[in-house]
Amino acid sequence: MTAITLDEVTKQYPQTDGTQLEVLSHISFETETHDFVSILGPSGCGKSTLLNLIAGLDTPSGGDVIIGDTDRPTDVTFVFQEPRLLDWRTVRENLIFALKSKDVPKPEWESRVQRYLSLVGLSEFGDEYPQSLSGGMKQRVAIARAMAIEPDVILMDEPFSSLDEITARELRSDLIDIWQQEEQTILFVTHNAQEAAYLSNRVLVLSDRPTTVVSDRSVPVERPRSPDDPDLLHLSEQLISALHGGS
Amino acid sequence: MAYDSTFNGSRWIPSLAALPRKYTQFVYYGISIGLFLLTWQVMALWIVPELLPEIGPVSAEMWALVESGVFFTHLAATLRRVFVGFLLAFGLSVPLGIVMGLDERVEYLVEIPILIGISVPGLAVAILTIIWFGLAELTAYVSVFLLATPMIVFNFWQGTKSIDQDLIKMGTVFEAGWPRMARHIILPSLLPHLLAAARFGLALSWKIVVIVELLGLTSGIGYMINNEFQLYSIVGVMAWTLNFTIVMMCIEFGLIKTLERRVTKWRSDSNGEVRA
Repeated sequence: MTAITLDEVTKQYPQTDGTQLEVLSHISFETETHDFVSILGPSGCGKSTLLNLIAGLDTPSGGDVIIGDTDRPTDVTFVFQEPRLLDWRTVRENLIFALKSKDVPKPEWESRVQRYLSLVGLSEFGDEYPQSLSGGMKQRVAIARAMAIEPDVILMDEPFSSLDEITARELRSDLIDIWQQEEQTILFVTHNAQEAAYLSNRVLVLSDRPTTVVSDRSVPVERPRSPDDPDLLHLSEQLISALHGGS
Repeated sequence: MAYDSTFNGSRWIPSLAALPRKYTQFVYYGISIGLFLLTWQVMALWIVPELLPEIGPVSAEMWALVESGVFFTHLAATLRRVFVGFLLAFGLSVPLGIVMGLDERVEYLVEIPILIGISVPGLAVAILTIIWFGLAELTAYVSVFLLATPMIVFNFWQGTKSIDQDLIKMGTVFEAGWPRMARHIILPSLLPHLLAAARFGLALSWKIVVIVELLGLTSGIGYMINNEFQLYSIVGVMAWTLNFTIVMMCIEFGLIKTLERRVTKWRSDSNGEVRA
């Protein structure tokens, strides 16, 4: 089944001098359900713009964005670069904020909170306020919050880029475990080629502005993977050269 | 927020090191008050005895005012003026400040009057309102309103601008809708500004009320301070002032600081510790 379809999507922003700034240029791709796809692009290309279009936070200037099968509405959610938690609510209340906003029936709240906090390894921390947690733990809460509404598609916008490398490695490996249990479709945006290679089944490489897809690579490495696997390192070198205009 | 008890005084005063942390604050409060009283008494006895009465007669007069009830009669008049004017100012300022923070057209429209309002001297406001409204209660309400409004609006305007747009976007992604966003994101972000506005607004209000009472009314703390001044009773002036100051401190510690502790519970809970 197809989870996300982009057909000739373009995005322009009007500028103060009257001209149009072309950010996205004729982007087309499809992703299958339960797939883990990374979008790798240089800083400042239209990666976040692309995610906003898919999340429905913004509309394309041309082309179509189709989420799921046309006859069934599909739930899309977002994990941001920063945790974006409500500091004045406990971890549990942060999850409930999302559940209630998404109209999940109240009897299900407690079991979902339990389940998804334990999935990210934070069962003990439901009653803590975010400010007493470390950066990595906060990002785990953000992942649990996104998972808890049980969406079909999760969009992740460089969620580990502000963490130190050791914490980021831990979270990447945990994310893969969770994804294998939950089987959601994940679209993961990053500027880190090794991260893209390690996490994904497939990597789309984007060019600089005006952004288009320059390379579409599958990652034929068995799971579980090691981040230091020579095949992955080799692949990430190829991805980097594709980023720089090779192919 | 502005205060906390993390300052480690025990390095300087070793004998306090053994005290539980929660008492530290009160010990230092005590030292602060003690130093104030000591300075007062030393000045009254040896430095400016002809200008400053000793603690004894002043505190006796303070107690006499309380015991006879005359203090409470005038306190009630002053507090009524402070709170009526303040509540009017607060009621207008909250929505205006929020709208200024959200819509830049309103911001440009109101910004200059607000900044002028903040810099106008209280005395000028008091004199002008007396000229306009005469020697009446209304004069006190209007002068508090005119003086406190710009200050409270300013706080809410800045507070609204500082709301984290990323959290609003997060709410949008989870389809929270405006009523839930207002309750869970916007209101909690504004609470610290609400308390700051209440604190500074009240302080400004009682200062202007006392001036208005002194210039044009026949009751209230300001009127009585002026009365004592006409009699050239330094003891009387000080007794009225100190009694009133104590009441204002009770409002600060009993009301505002308590509210502050409640709404920032999530902040003090962490004790600044971060887990790995």
